[in-house]
Amino acid sequence: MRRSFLAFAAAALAAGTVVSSTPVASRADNGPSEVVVGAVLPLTGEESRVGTFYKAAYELATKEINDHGGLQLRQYGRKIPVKLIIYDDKTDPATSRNLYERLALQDHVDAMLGGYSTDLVQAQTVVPNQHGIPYVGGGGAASAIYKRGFKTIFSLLASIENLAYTECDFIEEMQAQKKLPKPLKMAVVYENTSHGQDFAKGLTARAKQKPQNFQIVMSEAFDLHGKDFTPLLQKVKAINANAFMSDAHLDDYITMQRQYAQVGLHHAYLTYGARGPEKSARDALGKSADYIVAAAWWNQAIPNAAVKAFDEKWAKAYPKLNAEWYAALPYETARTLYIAMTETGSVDKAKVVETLRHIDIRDTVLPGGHIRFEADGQINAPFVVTENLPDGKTVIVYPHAEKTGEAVLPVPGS
Amino acid sequence: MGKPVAYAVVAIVALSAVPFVAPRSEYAIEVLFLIFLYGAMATAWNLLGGFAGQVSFGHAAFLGIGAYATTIMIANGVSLWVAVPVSALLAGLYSLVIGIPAFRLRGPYFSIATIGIGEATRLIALNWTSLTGGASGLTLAGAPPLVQQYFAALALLVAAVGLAAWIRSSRFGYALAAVRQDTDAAETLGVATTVTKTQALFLSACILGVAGSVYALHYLFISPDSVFGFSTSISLVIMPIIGGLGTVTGPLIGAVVYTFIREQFAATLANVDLLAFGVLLIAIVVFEPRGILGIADRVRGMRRARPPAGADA
Repeated sequence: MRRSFLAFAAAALAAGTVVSSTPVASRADNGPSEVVVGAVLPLTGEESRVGTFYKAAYELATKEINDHGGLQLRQYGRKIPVKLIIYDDKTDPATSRNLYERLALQDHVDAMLGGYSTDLVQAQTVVPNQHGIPYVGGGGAASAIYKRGFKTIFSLLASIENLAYTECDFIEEMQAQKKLPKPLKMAVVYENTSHGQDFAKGLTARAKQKPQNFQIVMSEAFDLHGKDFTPLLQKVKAINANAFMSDAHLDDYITMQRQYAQVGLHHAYLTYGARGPEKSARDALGKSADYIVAAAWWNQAIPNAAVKAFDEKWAKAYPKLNAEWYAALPYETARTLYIAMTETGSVDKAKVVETLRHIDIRDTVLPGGHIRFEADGQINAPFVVTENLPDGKTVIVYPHAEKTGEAVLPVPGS
Repeated sequence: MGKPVAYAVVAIVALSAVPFVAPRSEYAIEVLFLIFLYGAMATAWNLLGGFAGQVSFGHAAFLGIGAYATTIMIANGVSLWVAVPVSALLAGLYSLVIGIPAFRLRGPYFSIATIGIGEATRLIALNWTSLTGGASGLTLAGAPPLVQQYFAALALLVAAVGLAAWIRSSRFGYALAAVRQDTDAAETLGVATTVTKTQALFLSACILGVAGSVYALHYLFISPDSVFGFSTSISLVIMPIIGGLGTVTGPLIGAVVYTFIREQFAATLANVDLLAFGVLLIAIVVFEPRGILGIADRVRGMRRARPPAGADA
């Protein structure tokens, strides 16, 4: 036992020595030699498809800064390049949190960019809050993340409740045009996460507020990253609903919609919340993805000069990756952080947080083009409602300012 | 004081000095903290899985109960000094509730049942939203300083290993060994096997309950998937296997290797840590089922067997 204990002590001390041996970016009187920014993303595991886009977007935004010599920080009177550190959390919340801790304690980052998907963002955001490090994210929309009184956390993803309200506003407009029945009988199925619960909460609130427009005939949760939704869909089939209102992540959307078609379901209105127009999903689902309505944080079709410019930059940098919302949002997330640091003029964490609190950026790629955070750190930006049309086309059908086509509703054949 | 105890005291003193010798090496302190926490958790699992040979794949349930109980109590103004022992007790009581029926099963049937118990516990936590916050989880407002957490985890580890050492050489430990080797024969010899296994499970769960408290105070955010997840249960099994199943210090050595591989490879080389664990587990199962301690024993044995230099062949 004694030898084992000594071996443990030696190994533990050696582990401690090795892990603490990474040098910290040197800081002379004229400021740091580089601005260190870190992010932890799901590059493997269930969310890797989206995580890969986040990495590409963060790298693109950072490359643009470094191609111009870095961030112009007036306190140091010069441009300082950005060093971007990205770790893979394997879509595991505990690993994500540990790696953010590593960014804080080992890499001594000046600021953090956010990860992706609600459960990971919920776990990881305790770290920047605890260490007072500015964190700008574009990958966790559930309002529960931002209702915890955290002071250094900011997000470009508007809340899922607002997403649900936007879809309801659109449905009301369709009802006024006699394209959808009134009240719309909704079968609500949602992933059992804060994300999904917010979606169900939004729909329930609107149904209570406007029973003449909305009636919920079924509301049931499902586990994230499911493999077989057939029992749930059979329940939906047994209920006489006009609308199938699902909130799902990308992999679940693809699986569920494939099984929706196999079960032989048809509804006048079909949505998966924010998911619908993604190229990978349309490639996988073919015609069964037609007429799906989505309320998203961004779409390539937004008629806006900033979107067009981003689209061109993205296509040039990543010709094999289609520009999705999970490319545009993280790109704008990184840009927002870099703008805040430039406006602050230093890497002082408290000052950067203060700048973010009052930041007001115009002409961005987001719908409405405006970035400004609420008191809780989450943005209150509008959504765009899109509809998939045959032959791979997607049109924006709501709001009017960004509309690019007319909605085809009810879904033909329903 | 025997030599093993003296060496253990030296190791504890050396580890206690780390925050004072290198106060700015916060990341090293963080990693050592994780080693202590995982070491205590693995030691707790080993009381049942190693000493008694009852392989459980649902032990994350006790960690989760400890974590949730502590978080809920602290959020409601209960003192930490009350919250931690109550959390341990709740985890222990839960182990009695599930242990008594589960121990009617043996071998692989027991192991399969524990998977179900772990998953059922996760689903209860996921759907008991009013108490656990459901999928949104629970967040604690603030953590004690890292150094305090470090010493709390070290104390937990020392207590767990100390308890394991005491059990190993006690009458209770011999009863567990008898259960591991042959349950029917142990019963014939007068060992109350179900009671013995239940006692081991209770102690194991209590330690994991305290570990859950430490986990919650460190991670500050807990959700059903993070603390009750199957991957947590699997990591509790992996560590003792790597270090040495059924030994006192094997789980601790397994925790050092596990944490070191995770921390070093997870950040730099994606999934190389999983590959490393896979290779290590296969190598151990095939070549040395007694783990790293078994390899060390073999090396010592080979050295002793080697004839001294100059001796006749």
